[in-house]
Amino acid sequence: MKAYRALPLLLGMLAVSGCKDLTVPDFNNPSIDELTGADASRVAVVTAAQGLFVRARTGIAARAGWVSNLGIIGRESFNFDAADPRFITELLRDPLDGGNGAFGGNFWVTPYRGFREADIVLNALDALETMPDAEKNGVRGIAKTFQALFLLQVILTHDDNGAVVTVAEDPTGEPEPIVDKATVYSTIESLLDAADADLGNAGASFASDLSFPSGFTGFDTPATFRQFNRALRARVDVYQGNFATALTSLGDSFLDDAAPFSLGVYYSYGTGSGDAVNSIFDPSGLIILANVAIRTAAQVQTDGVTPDQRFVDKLVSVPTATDQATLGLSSDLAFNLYNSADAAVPIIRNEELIILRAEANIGIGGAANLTAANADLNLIRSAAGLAPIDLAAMTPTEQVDALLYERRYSLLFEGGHRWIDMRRYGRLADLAADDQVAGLQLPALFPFPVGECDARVPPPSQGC
Amino acid sequence: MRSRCVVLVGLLFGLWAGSAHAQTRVVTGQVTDAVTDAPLEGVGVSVAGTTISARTRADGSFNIGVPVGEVRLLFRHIGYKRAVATLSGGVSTLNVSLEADVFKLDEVVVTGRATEISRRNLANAVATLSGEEVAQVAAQSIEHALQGKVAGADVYTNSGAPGGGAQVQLRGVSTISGANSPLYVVDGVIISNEAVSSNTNAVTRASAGSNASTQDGPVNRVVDLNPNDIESIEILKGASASAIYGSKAPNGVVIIQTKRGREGRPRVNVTQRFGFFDLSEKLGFRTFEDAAEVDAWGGAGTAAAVGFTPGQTFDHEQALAGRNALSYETQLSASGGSENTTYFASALWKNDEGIMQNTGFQKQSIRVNVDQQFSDRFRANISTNALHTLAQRGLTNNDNAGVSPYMVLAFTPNIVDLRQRPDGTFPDNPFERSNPLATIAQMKNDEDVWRFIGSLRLEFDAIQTGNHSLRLLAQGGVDFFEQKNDLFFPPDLQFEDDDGFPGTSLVTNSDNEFLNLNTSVIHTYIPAGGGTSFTSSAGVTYATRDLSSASIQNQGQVAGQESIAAGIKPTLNEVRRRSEDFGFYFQEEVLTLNERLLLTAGIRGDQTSRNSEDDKLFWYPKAAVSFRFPGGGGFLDEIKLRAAYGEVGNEPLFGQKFTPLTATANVEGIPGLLVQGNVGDPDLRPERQREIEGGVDATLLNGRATVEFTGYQKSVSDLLLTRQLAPSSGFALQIFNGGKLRVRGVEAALGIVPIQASNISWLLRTTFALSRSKVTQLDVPAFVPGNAGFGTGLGTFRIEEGKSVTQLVGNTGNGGPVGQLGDANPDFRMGITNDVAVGSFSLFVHADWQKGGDVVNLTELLYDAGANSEDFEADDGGSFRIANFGSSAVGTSLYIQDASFFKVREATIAWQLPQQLVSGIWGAIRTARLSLSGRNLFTFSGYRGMDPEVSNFGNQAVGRNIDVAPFPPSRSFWFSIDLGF
Repeated sequence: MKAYRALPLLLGMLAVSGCKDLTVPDFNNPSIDELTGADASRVAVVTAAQGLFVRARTGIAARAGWVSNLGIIGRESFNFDAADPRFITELLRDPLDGGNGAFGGNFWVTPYRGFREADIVLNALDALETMPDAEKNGVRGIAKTFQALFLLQVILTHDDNGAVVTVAEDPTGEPEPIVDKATVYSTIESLLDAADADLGNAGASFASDLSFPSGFTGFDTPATFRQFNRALRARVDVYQGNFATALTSLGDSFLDDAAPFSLGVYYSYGTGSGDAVNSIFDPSGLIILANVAIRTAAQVQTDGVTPDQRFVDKLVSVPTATDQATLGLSSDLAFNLYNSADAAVPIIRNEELIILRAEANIGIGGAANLTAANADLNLIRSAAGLAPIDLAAMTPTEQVDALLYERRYSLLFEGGHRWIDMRRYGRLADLAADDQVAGLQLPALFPFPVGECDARVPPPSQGC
Repeated sequence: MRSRCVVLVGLLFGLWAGSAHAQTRVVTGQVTDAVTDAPLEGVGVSVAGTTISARTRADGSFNIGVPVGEVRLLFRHIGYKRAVATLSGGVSTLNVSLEADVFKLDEVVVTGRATEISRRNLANAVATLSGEEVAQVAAQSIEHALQGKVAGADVYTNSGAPGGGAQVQLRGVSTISGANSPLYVVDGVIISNEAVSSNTNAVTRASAGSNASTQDGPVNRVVDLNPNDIESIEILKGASASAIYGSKAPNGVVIIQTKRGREGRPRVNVTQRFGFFDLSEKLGFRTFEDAAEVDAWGGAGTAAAVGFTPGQTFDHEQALAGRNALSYETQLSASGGSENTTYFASALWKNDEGIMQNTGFQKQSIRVNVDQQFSDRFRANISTNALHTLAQRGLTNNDNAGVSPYMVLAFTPNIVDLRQRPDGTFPDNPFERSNPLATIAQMKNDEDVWRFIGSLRLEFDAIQTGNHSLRLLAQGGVDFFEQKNDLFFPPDLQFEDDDGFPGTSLVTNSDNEFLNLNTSVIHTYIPAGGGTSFTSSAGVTYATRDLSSASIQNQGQVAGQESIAAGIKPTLNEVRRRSEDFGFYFQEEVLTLNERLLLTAGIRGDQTSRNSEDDKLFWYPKAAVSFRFPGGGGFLDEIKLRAAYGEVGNEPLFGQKFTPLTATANVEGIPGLLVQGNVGDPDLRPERQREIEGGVDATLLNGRATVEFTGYQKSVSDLLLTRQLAPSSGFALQIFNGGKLRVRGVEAALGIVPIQASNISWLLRTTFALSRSKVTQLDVPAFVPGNAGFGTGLGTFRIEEGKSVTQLVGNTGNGGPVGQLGDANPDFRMGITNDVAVGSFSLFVHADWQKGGDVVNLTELLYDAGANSEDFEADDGGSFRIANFGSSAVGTSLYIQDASFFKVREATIAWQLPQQLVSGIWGAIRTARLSLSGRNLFTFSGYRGMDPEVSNFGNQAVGRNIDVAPFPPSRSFWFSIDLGF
């Protein structure tokens, strides 16, 4: 019968097909296996280390990012985007909502993603055999410095709510504990110091296959990267009131009276595929505006007419734009700071270090220190065309006023300095003076994002 | 692995059975239509209790060899009730007339991968539609032709944009975040219903980033098929019917058979349609009485700035979407064949002009189906279809950049003139970032698809004796399409200088390839004496699914040149997916007790590359029983009780099992490797759906009425859920299996022929369906599924234990708790179809009624926010709504609105020209028909948006019914000429 000839054919097809391998890899993304365990390769680890530069600038210059959102809360800027009224409603009117990742729930997910990435790099380095120890130490120094920077972002926004300072190997297990602010700051300090030590053992140069973006130009050797590390440490010292330590850290940083104020380390942006643009750049002139209080509060230069040179340089008059949430906000002032899609945003720069030194000296007090502080502030003021001041003739409150004025105009719209400074000195309520309408909110800190609360049973006692 | 292969081998040998030939004699005769006496061609004639069969020729005649002695002959034909004739040993001629089967009682329904059974015995509520029912009125997509016609099939369009974008949801929700499309099987080949986004997101920025988004209004590709080629559509609604498709059929199966040729002289049909589309609903604008009101609205000086003249208004909606351009459709088909070779060939040329300038839909199709009989035992069926579609879909849906037309009109009152100036330029919109009339006139959003679907089916009757038959079946099919999305936004558009890179050009090239291979063995045993049959089938399927999509976006096309290379800020993206899977199945069907009792049992085993363990088999069993009770005389002819149980799976989506890194990010060209966020679950597996259904079918009044009633419950466990990881872990989520949901529902269908006379008939059919879902267990906190809204402040879907899967929640007041404010699932849905024929005139009217269900009307919120809604100043109008939105006890509920509607979906009035008139014009014309028809002619709805059938996020398992600046709805009118040669 013919059927008997067809049957083996059919059975053959079954047998062949039934035993075929169905494994299909992920075509779109590399696997994490390339960074964990024995399979980790040098090129993957180096690329992951470079990824920290990419991660660090993520969310900094976004429309709803570090500079813009903290600028709004700190009464430096507005965002009048009609398509998203939350720039007004949530940031200025209603309580911050941890459910909105771009607003109340912000400044948590991205830094911890970066913290984890640095952790993966550190673990991979321990197992990696194809890299000399000095090069490993260099990468460790970079990774730990970034971990400190990420935690600093978290604690600056979440303040008394506290933060998480460790990552567990298994991300699907119980969440790591939330610790208090002081513990977070001490973790940041020890990370910076450990990085400093690693960089000290990293030889004269980093691994040759490790590339740095343009924002790190001048800070791309272990010795110069240490200066950046110490600058961050100085900022942390001052924020904690450890003024003597701050002076030591500043001494090891890149602070230089003779160098341009702009000397420093920056977040870089670009227009290539896969790169990110600086989204605070707003050529329409209708969306990102400056608070007009910056105009009224600006001091006048010694010619008696021209406003503070920093105001002249950093701001520009535009046609009046209004908020679409009809709170009655408007502005005819825009920033002249980020004028292209690849404009860099400062991480820390010389001008801040000079003022940090002044602040530390004011904090320590005493005639000699005040004189030093006076010199630093007047260095800043003379560059801005302003008359010198005399701290010695001022009350302590006036000294702080003077200090905060310089910080406000020197660090304008560079990443939440105004809001953080006013909180540090317990003056947050004073920001209401810059509002055009009464009754706007002045949040002191951010809640945890809703996902962090949901992942914890019971939820944290505060911050949710 | 080896043990599995051995099991199958054993299984197949178990089918083997011996047999012997019997002596035969020949019976001849003719089959005719009972009403018209016309001869019927292609009627199946078979001897009861055996596998012997034959078909009638063009003149209705047949001859068949039957066993010696008394035999029972069965006559079956599509569209006719079957007839049985008992023939004593001495009789050798027999003439039979068949009655029309308006309720399809004798239709055969595919119940396995390769077996079929008469509807009369069917244990599931399987809906079927004939090609005639599908092609009543010109449709861009088959889905449109299904709307409201099948109980339990909710078919919704996503917007009014030309070129489709519609969702068929069978028996409510079946998953939360798994695949949500039914399986489409055309001539035995699983085809792709992939929806590849056009990436309008690059300008709308509806979703963050530059990746394509479901808010782009993507088109699911079943739209490519030509509805005119369809012979029948069969819909397996739930797991109890579709279990044999295993983990490919969690959302039911739509089985489409295309037309095939029949032996006889060539028949040529030509259908020419002309028509147009017409904007069917407007939102309207606020009326400004005087300059003071304008200034109060837009600030001092606004009235003067725009040259406000009281009483002078500009209807932007009409200017935008008021086009009525000529559309047409030409369908040619030819069929025929010799004794051994038959063919069906068709061609379609369709060109629909959209209601907006620069929008429309074109489709061209060529189909050739050939059936070849090589011998008594060996047959081959070849089906080929080449298709081309071009959809120009304009720009709609959500937007964060002030470019989507209805988004812009929300903030643009009708006091400003946006029309094109005589010099060809458009004025800038003083109130928003774009002039929608300019945007639509100058932009380009073309979706060009070339597609080939082909299959080859080989059948070999290895054994064919009086009692046994063994058929071997091998089938292979391929569905390949290439989709090219070309988008261009010239630099002089008003919004294009907003980001410093005026001009945006986009090209996305996507290739999609489905390959199916399938071999089966079917053994039928019919014991002597008749009334009983055993059908065993077993088989193997192997399938691959590949998608590769590469897109280039470039900004800063300063020179106005469309070329993708002419910009200065490129963004590249690529997505590739591949799935491979095997399925093994076995099914046994027993029909006994004089064909009154049907017992079915089957099992399918599946393994797929999408599971974490790609070589693990998952088993999906099914079982069904039905029994026909004869009526006791009187009005009841027959009543059938049925029950069925089945299980299916829903595979994880591609990539869900991986822990990926991102390798595409860089800073100034320095690459980085970043954590993406997903943590792969080493035990990720398909969702499992268990469905039990039971029902009663009755035939009444001597075949003049039928009633079908079905109740079902489906339970889905091992849902593909997202576990949110603490963000402080550095990872975001893990997809895992957990939780359960349940859907219960009832479906009813009633068919009645109130009038049936020689020159007048009326057929009325109604369908009714309702379903209720509930999340019975959720192993994660209540969550908002992806693409299901814009947060609780604006109204969103939320999956919550103990609640309806499709509940809509929102803020219940200022600072108040989040609570349920609605449900997208309707209370019930009903379809009503009337077929009336009077002499040579016929009327077809089909209506679709949905009661209840809610839509989140964010379009109205936008108009209210712009103080520009038509009822802004009315009591409880826009100003009331926006003032109370989010700041009173009314909360978000004002924008969660009832979606009830009654739509006259299809209507056709036709005149069949008298034969003598037709042949008087031209002798070659066999038939001629003129008709006027329309689709979506009337909509009655209290919904305040444009159309309650809307989905900003496209096809979604849960998150439909979000209304954000959609493409406005339209109705279409057609004049058609059908000629038969």
